[in-house]
Amino acid sequence: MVAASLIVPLAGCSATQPQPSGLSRSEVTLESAGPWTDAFRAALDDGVSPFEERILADGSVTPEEVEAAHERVRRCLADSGLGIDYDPDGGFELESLDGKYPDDFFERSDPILRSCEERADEYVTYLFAETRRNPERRDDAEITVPCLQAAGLVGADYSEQQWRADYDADTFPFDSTSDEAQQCALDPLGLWRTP
Amino acid sequence: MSIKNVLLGAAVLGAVVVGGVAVDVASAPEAKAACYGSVTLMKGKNNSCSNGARHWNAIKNAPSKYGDWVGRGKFSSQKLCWANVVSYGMTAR
Repeated sequence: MVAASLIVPLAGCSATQPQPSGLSRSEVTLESAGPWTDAFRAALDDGVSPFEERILADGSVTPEEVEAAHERVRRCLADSGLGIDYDPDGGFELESLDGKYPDDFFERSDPILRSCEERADEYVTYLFAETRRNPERRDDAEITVPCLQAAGLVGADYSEQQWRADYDADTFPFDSTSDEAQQCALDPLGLWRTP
Repeated sequence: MSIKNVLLGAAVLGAVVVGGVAVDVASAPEAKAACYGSVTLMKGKNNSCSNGARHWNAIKNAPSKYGDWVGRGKFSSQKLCWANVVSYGMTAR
């Protein structure tokens, strides 16, 4: 009994020991994750599906991998008569393929959505969006305030400290739903989104 | 208006029911349910949900609308203020 309890943890540290999903530890390199390594590691440690683990193992998520994950979720939902419409800016709509929406549609469809996401997209979309928006993982205030200033939404004296306070309290001195504010929220560094 | 915490599968949802429309509920662990806050029709903040949280709107006779999963300290938001919302809330995973 004692021997068995010693052997198991040692075997779990072997470089060639397959993880529960099938990838060996040596295959989970996270080589491209850079400053996002801990986020990728946390996602993998949360017990993602083998499909998702293969995507996350190198520490990066490509647009093609996001689309593959979305397609898997889409097919899974279709088996239950549901559809999904992803917004390029983030978020999505969960729809009924027959166009009927009983009063308990959300309560019935949300668990199905979660089940489908667990098979293919617990973290793929999230990590893709985060790393695309801020690849060097700089402080949000540091990258957002210059964008807001350049857009004319705040003055030159608006500080990073003030932005943090306004963000936490949801009290920005501008319309946070305006196109300019949305542009700074979604792509503060101007890396991917056309205004 | 009533506030209920909803547990569906592995995810924990906090829901605000609009207009008295009922949501099936089960007891959610209070500590996990409290890992987000500042929940409105349009957005909610992940205060301390370690694996992420996201905002949702359930809408009468229409598709449900979901915001992004967000990490700690960030808001998950709706793109628009949707009409005919019957309940809204946050999911923590």
